[in-house]
Amino acid sequence: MERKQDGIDSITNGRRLPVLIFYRPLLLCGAIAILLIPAASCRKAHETRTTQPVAAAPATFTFAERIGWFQGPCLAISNSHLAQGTSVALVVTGEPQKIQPARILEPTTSATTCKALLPDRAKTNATPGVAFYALETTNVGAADMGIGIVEPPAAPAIADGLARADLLRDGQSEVFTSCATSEGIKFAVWTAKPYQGDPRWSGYDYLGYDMQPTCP
Amino acid sequence: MTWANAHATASDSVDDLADPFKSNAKDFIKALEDAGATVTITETRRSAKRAYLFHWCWLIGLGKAKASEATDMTGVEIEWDHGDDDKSKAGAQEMIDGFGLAVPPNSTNAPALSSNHIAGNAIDINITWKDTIKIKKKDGTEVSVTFMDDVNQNTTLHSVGESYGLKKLTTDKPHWSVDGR
Repeated sequence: MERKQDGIDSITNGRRLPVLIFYRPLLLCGAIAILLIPAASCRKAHETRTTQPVAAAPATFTFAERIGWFQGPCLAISNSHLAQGTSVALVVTGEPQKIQPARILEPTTSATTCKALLPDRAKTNATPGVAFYALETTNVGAADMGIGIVEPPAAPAIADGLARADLLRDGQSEVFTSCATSEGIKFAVWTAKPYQGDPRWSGYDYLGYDMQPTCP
Repeated sequence: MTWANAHATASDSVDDLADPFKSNAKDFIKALEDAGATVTITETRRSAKRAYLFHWCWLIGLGKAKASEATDMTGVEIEWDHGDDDKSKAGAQEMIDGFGLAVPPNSTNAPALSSNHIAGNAIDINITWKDTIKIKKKDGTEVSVTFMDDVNQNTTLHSVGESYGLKKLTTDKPHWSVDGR
């Protein structure tokens, strides 16, 4: 459901792609010259590759690896490579929403830190590929929950009670929602307006008890 | 909380479900496993006592009810009213935090006192397999079912479960019940 951006999703965050596009043909030309093969062919290849608007290529934002959900001081995210000290912007999805800074402390399996890992919840929440991290936070209560943005490319800000952040740097803000299902919390990130079209990202926190759903 | 975690826990045994849902769930799980799927049971019957504790601590701790309004429940000895609203609220808030109860935005409804899980008519299971398997429906016919990461979208699997009397709730990935709620 993520927007594909000219196939650069395959390069980590897309940041190195312009460099690769520019230098790869030069390296290729050098190698070919050594082998005394006519330079015309490599010049043609160079021209073909550099016709792409390299400078205009937008930075990618890999939602699956940069967005997770949190409850209290615990972040659940499909990324097992977050280093200690990595910054996370927490969107607390109350009314109104608020934004709190946080940092990654360490990976954890503690149900004391992560209520999502309580015995009756872990089998559903701790699925393969999902990592749990203890967070260093202030002003985030044990029952607070919401969405964490790892190293946000644009600082989220509150407008009309909703947090907004232009994560794709495309001029459109992403917005953040959470709502109750019958036995869990569904989190989602949308572009421009909540609950319209498909979400950019969604997550689910299984709580293991019954509630009145609030999701639209 | 210590008492609740020792004496009012949820079961993960199919045998604790109510018939005929129990036998239907067993048949469905057997069909899945015979087809090569891995089935992990998360919860079956939930404790009414635990639900009672969740319900009232949530209401009192969030200031949505006074401790004096809490009803009694046979078999649960708890004093909600500490003789002081702030102390009662603080005690209940401690339970909310300890149980890890959620406080979703817009939610004015406390954790439920009754449900299909409490009645023994719901089961939470995680079902995984690779690629495509053939699962037998209740009538013996085989259906090819391809694995999907989002089980809520896997309508073919839902139809197999429904043949056994287990209906999928499509908002909560592990949840199957007698009526889809």
